[in-house]
Amino acid sequence: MPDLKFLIVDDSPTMRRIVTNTLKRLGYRDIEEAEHGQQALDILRTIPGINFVVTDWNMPVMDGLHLVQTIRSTPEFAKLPILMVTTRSVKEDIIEAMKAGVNNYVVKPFTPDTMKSKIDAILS
Amino acid sequence: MDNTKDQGIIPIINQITKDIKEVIEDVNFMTKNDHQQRTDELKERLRKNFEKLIELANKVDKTSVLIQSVLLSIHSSRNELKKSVEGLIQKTGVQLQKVTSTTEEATNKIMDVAEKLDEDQMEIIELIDKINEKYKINNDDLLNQLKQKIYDNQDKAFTIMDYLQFQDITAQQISGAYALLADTEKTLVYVSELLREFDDKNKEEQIKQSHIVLDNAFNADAKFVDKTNVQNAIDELFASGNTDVVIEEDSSNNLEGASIHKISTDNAKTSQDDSNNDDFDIDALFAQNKKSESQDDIDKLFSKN
Repeated sequence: MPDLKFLIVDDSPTMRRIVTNTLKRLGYRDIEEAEHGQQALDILRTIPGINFVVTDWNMPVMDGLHLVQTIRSTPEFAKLPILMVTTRSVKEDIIEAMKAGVNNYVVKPFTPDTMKSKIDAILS
Repeated sequence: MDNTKDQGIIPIINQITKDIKEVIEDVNFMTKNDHQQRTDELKERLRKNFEKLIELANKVDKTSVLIQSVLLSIHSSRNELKKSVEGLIQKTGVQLQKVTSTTEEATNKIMDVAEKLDEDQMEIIELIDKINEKYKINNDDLLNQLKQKIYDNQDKAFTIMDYLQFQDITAQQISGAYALLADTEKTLVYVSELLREFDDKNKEEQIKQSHIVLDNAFNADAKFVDKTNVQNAIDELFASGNTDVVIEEDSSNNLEGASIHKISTDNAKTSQDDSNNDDFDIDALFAQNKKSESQDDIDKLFSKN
């Protein structure tokens, strides 16, 4: 299992907890959390070693799409793997996320198997 | 008549009628001598105009009473609008927020229990190993069966956690309802402001602007339905990278309005499927012809990336 340090970005404490639990079940223990995109950027700048971002789309302050665009336009983070986990399942939204630079996309409610397969796909 | 700019209609009419009366008197004086026929005509015309003016004055008087009544009605309507905004809408907004916070609190408590169950199962496995080490049970089959039961229970605890995703999704739906309220509030405030200029008798305090702060923090289209097909479609979308790919509509859309549907996990045998098409369909309010994609179709877009 690769040595991954995750950053989970979601404004819902429930969802952060669920994603964290899911990752722990998949064997990942090193996990940071942020409530919105801006906080995620602050954490990326201050906590070293984060090498995988799991982000929601709809969040206050800075949404997930803006976060992805900012990450991709910041040279030091530009290649970070990003998995978007969201309730949005309209094609236009998915394409927008894809163009913004997400590596893969999971719709809520998700299963641990789906989460695992997307993480594996990104890492492969 | 030059000094009538700032006068009301009735004083103006009164002034006109006074003038006409004076003219009639003058004409009467003139008719005593010459041009009897002509002056009679003028006199008749003036008399008719005078009657019309009197009639007009009476009508204006009645209209004025009606306008006063309308203004009172507008004032009353604005008060009702204010009550609606400050009472019903704001209280409903607070109630919706309470629903969200209550479900979040309850969800966290359920999560605590599920996590504790998971931890306890792990401890039981460890205890079984210790017992086996100490008492040498020598029945691997039995021990494995026992352990499998415990692992199954652990999976069930995880499944409970998975189901708790409903809280985030329903919270977003509630935020959608909240946004509808905010729109209604804005409309009511707008209508009230339109009526404001007719209601300046009692310069009442302007109805406060929307108290509901909205941003991109929710997805009103969020649904708690089986997204297996949706996820598969996403995989294909990402795999192919072809954004022009034809995407079949997610069959789960047919269940819009249903409450909670089964999450397909290996261990979700006890999943509920309590479709209730009588439920209030908030999705319909926000649909705006947006077509929800199945995960299969979305996967198509990503599959070539």
